[in-house]
Amino acid sequence: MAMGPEPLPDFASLVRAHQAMVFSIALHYVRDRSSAEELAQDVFLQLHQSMADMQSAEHAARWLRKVAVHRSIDHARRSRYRPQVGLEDAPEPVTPAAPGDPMLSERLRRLVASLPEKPRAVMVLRYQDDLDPEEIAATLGMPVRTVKSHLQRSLAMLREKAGRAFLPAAGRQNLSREMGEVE
Amino acid sequence: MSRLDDALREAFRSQDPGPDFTARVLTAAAGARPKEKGNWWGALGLRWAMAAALACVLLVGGSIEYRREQEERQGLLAKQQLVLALHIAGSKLNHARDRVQQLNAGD
Repeated sequence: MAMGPEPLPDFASLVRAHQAMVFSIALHYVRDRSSAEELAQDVFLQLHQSMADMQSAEHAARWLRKVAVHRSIDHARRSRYRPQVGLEDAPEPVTPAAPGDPMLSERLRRLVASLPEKPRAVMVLRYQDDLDPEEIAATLGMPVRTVKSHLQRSLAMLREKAGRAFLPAAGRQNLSREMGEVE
Repeated sequence: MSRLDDALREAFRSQDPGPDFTARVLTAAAGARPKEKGNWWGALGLRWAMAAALACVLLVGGSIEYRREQEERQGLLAKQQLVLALHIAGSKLNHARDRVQQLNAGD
């Protein structure tokens, strides 16, 4: 039996359900908690103004994601955000890193923050919300092949810069081989 | 799934905003006036009322101006008719004077 779209919840329920997603997009994009909270609040206020136009829970979620990304891009343009510490100045960890390591996570976030605005948005949507290239393309209003190209190039850059820095010499070759399978 | 994918997912894991975020948003939203379709219709109704009022003003003004022009045109016509009548009366008087002079000269 085909299920119809979920009915639209009230505004408070939408805030509770999506505040982590909206806030995290802003945080991962602008890399500043207070700016991200402010941005997320503005996104929800805009939703409140537009509640009459929302058709379903899914529509509201897609709308929130799109507005959050575009507002984050606008904010970054206005504030001309650049990483506070140059990538070359970031301290290299002395111990091997693994997923879950806060230093590795921070280094990856810095590397992604150094990307141009569109590839950065693609990476945030891909790895925060686990969206596939088609969904990312719909959110950012760009062709799917452009999204795939951004992903490939960004991952190649990360493989080159983060892969070497965070692995012990013995494990680098193995990880390089594994990372080659990403695409 | 590679280790890089896992590391990226970990790095970009969703995070919750501050604990009072929901309350702040709801308070701010309560203070903001929602954009409702009814307001749009209300604004449209106001625009129509303003347009109707403007049309009335233009109609009344146009009517007054038309009447003034009609009166001016009638006045001009009456003036022309008066000039013509005076002209005819003048020529009649001249004719009568000439006749009187001819009669006097015959005597």
